[in-house]
Amino acid sequence: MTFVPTAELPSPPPTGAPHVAVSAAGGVFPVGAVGFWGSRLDPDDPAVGVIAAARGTAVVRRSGRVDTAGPDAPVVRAPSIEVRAVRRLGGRWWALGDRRVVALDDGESFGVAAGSIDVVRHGEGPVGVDPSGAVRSPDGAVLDDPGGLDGELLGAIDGAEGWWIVARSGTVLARGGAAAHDGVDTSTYPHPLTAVGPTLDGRGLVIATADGRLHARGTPYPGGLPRPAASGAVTAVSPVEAG
Amino acid sequence: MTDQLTRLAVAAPLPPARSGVAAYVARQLPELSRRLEVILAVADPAAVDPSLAADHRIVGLDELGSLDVDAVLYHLGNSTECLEVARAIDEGPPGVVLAHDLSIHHLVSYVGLGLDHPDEYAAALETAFGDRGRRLAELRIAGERGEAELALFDLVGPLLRRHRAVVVHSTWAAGLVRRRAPGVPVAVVPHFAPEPVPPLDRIQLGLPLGDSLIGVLGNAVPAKRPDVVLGAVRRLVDRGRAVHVVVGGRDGTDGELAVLIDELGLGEHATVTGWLSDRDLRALAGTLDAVVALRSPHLGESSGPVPMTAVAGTPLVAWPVGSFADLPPDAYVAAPVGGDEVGDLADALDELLANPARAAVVGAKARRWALDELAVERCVDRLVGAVAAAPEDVPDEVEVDRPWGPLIGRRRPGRAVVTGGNDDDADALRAAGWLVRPVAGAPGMSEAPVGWADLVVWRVRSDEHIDRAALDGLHRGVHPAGRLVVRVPTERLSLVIAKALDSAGFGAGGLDQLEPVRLGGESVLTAVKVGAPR
Repeated sequence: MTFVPTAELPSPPPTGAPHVAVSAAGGVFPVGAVGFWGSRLDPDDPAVGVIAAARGTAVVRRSGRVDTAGPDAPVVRAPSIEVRAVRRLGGRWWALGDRRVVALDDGESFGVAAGSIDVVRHGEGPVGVDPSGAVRSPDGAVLDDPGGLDGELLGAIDGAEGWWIVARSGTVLARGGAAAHDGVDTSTYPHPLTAVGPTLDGRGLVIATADGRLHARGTPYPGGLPRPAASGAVTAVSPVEAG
Repeated sequence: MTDQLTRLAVAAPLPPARSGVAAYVARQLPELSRRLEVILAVADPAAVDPSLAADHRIVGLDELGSLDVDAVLYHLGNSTECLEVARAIDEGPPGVVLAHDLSIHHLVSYVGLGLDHPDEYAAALETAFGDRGRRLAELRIAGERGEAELALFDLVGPLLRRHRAVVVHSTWAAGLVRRRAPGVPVAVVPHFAPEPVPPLDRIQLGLPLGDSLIGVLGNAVPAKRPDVVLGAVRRLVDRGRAVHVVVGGRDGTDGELAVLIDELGLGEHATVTGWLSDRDLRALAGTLDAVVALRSPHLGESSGPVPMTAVAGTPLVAWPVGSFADLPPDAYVAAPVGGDEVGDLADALDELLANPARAAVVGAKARRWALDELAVERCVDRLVGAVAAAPEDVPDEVEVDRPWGPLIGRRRPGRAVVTGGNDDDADALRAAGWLVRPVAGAPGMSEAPVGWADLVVWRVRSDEHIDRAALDGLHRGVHPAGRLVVRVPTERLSLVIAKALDSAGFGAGGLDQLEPVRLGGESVLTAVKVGAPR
């Protein structure tokens, strides 16, 4: 008889691309096949974004400070703004501040509508997303309104086509031609949503919940934290940049 | 024995497969090829590193039976890269098996359950352990999958018993093989030491220039006890020592490592490199100020990083158990086991780092030992000798009375005595036929020392129920292999206890009385002592 089961190994391995999550105080958590290169905890200056490379990370703080770690940490220009969110738009990373979004590579900046709490691409450049999930031009005009978002906005994720609006209730709304993805059913999975992040190919998104889990939508499951982090809930999750 | 050993087939994973076994075989190959005509057998010949393919004949594993060779040498490992070779060991021509790992349950479980072949998984466990194996398989198929069982219910016996001989890297592993495959000759050939390579520039790894670097090398699986190492580093930091821990390998803990680093506040004192090539790992070994090698439970694995560390002249701190017990006493620092593991390791490291002269002596002696005893030429000579000495035929099947081995240590048989976590638990266990030892003066087991026990099992619903500080104190005096923390339902707890006692050679007497019992509470300590109640 055959003693070792005959199943064929899947190829590639049944895990998604590596990601890195960061907690409120700045704890860094590699997920998947990527190393840990260091973290700096600072509860007084919350971490709002993380940019990850194979051998290094850059954690962006609310104050605009950037903590890098690792021999090949991403080169990031610290934005001189109070940062509300860090987003990947068209392969570049941007920091959203009050009425302004600043590129973290060369400092290029655009104005956004007052009251924006997130940012996506609409037309040529970055535009703000308000707490209702509506996309607004810099002068405040509504460019897209998902209408009736059931709950507070968690975040907006820019995709290869269109974008996704994610509510803290677990709802995921596809807009602008993005593919529809399931949300997180918080009635059966009773853990608050804490962060949302992009994928490298722009085809999906990754949602973090308070128990440390990551929920993949439109992308293979990358793994997650085995339990909640001591340094706070996950506030940002990002794919590891290729190369 | 083989009259004339001139042509040898070697079945193994090969680079670029990211496997320690592949690196081992590749490094050994030049020496082996000087002595014998070597034919390599792999799952996919087209995938082999071209530099190896240029110098060797490479065939598929399915050709092993038709090769004109004097012997087949199989390399058995526990990772997915070793799967096809494990199947060849299961079905191919009898040969000599070099067992780098003596569980392979991880591999069989991954393939059988992870890839949805439950019937075959159940058959494998039943083949190895009879009815008890089948019952365990049913539980795991139903979704109750813990780690402890993978160590307790190893699956090498049926694989090894159909071969001419077995080679292992340590005396301890040889003892396990003799129990699982009695009658099959077993030889010990130490894991060779690779050639040292220049150390890495710390800046290359982004490591602090002024700190003492403490390393854990190879994939960081839970059995390497990264929790203990990180705990010790935390204590060193608290004592004001400038230290940085470097995990040179993949995180094999499903993210537990980073969570632990976070909990201990070691984010600025820790690096996990991810997978490293064999050469980079060797270079890292020479970059570090000390390397820690712990393992519990021990599955008979050989440790590539240990000879790698020794030949680099880097002092090694290890628990003197399992394969590490073969190390010359003056060539490493033995951290005490069975007590305050974290504190004792911190003390050992502290003393070593505070005394560079001693560290240098330990490192130099290890290097001398590695160069003398673990030279690849010498180890290959011994390996070839073991293959040549293997009997032509497979030894007659020896009835395996109890094929599982001395995980804890053989002691005199007797009846099992159990203390439940609280009065209700004790009553339930007593009703199930166990002798129950009352713990005088203790309101619950969580406050009672259990140093008297041979086996301590914590059944928890999740890790958050583990009070690790309390465990450190409670476990004092209990052998590390006798400490289990399992996330299992009551039914599976019974199996774990029964199997652990059998493994320890306590005999099955009384265990048949063990039936599933209902234990109260979320976190239950079951301490087991064999013999008359005190």
